[in-house]
Amino acid sequence: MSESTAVAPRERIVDAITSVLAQVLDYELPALTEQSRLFDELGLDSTGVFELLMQLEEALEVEFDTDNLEMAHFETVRSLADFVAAEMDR
Amino acid sequence: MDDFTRRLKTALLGHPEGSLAFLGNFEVEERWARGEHTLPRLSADGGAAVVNHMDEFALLLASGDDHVVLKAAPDGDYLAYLDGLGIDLPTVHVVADSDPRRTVTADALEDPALIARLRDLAADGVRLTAHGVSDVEESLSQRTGMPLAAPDAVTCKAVNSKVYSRRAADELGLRQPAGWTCETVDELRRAFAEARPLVAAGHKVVVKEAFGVSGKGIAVLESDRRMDRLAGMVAKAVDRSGQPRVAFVVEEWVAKRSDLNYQFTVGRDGDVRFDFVKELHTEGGVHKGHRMPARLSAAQVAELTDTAHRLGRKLAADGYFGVVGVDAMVDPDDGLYPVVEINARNNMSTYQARVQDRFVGAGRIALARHYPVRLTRALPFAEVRGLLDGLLLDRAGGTGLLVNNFATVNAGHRAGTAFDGRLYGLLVASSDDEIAAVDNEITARLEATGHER
Repeated sequence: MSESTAVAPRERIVDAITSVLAQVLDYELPALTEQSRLFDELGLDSTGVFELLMQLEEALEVEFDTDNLEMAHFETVRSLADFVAAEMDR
Repeated sequence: MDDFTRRLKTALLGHPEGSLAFLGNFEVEERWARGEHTLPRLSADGGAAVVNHMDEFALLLASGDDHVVLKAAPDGDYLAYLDGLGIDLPTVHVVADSDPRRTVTADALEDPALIARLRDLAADGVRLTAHGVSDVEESLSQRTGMPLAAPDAVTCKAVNSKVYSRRAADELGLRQPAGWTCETVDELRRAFAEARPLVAAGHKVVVKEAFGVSGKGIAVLESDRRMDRLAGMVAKAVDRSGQPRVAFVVEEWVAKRSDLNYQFTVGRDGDVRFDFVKELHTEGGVHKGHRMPARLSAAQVAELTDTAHRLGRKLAADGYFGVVGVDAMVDPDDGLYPVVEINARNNMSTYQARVQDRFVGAGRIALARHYPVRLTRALPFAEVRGLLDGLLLDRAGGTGLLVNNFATVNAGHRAGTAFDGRLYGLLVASSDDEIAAVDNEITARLEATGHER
């Protein structure tokens, strides 16, 4: 049981990122992995970042601290999931 | 010859004969936005190198007796190509140490030898002109003793605020989407409160930073929650900074048939001259470039010309002179929104004006666009010329692509890594079908070599 509760939050975050990315980018996305690159590969831009964050907040019922957003947080699905997980633990 | 650059000089200097030194400091908005509260954004943005190397556009705005300061020496074969088209090129001054993150002006400020050269030119009567004037261009003017042929930076910033655009349109009774200007957090909250019924009724409402670059610094107010969250973020930033003034506009996102961009020039004496109107060209909803001439009725052009003169008089009264670009829209019933945003600085279209005069004559049309390229090494112009053999414009009256910026192709080049670049040009032909055919062929050839992204 302890194993499933440890894994589930990460999956929930990655699932939320995947579905929100599809809405924000508004095209048929390729199959995403944690290595998928948001800007280079998927075409996210700086305007889309805000939309992405707001929709993630709504999907995961959390409020991020948006003061210290860094490019590195948005490099890949993995780095974004790490950022979200850290914010949810705050 | 009454070309655009002579008209520009008449506006900036009072006569068409003087000599100017050009600075292509694109995205000067970023500098104007310093110290302003913004929507949440990333601390570093990619693409700065390409934007900063857009400075090379100035080559085609300056004439033979002018000077251009650039971040990098233009490709020799590219210069030869322009020369072969009969374009009289300016004297080029290249900065000693080009930092991809800096504008050309910021690079120039770090180059004592260049400053000395500009000082000599100033003594000969050369005057400084920029894409847009911020405090950085004023610093270069002071350091070189070369007066700016422009209003001061405070005036330039003020008239480039989207708050100024909305107020000017209100004052002149010009049609614009429902909206509010916000200079305090209370005004922002009030605007959101008044926008709530629109949002609830399913209308799209956006908040824009007053000094945002076109298409950036915009957020959609999709729900009450989104509005509360945004107002909270701005309020927090204001509290922390102790700087209570904000600059945003909140606006309804209205339905449109097409986007327009027109330009006029305001002289030092307040004389206003309408220059041109272009239409944004989209394919499948994706913005592909500017089509010239715009497909408008005589009545629509007359309305825009009249608007330009009224806005020009207002800008002159507020201390501005120089180039003004205005974004406008055609609604689904062919009505105009004649002013969506005033950009009282050079626009991308400004740099096309001189070659447009010469190569896009009566009965000709042109599409200004760029081709995204992904490269793993620097691509010389000679190679592009070979690749696009038969597709480049080679004479006035001809058909093909006139490359109007080559620096942006290789701007992102770093040894050993892939990078993105842009090949900018003006596709000139006698029909839309002919333009589409050349466009498709260029895209196909760039793709075939793996250059097109």
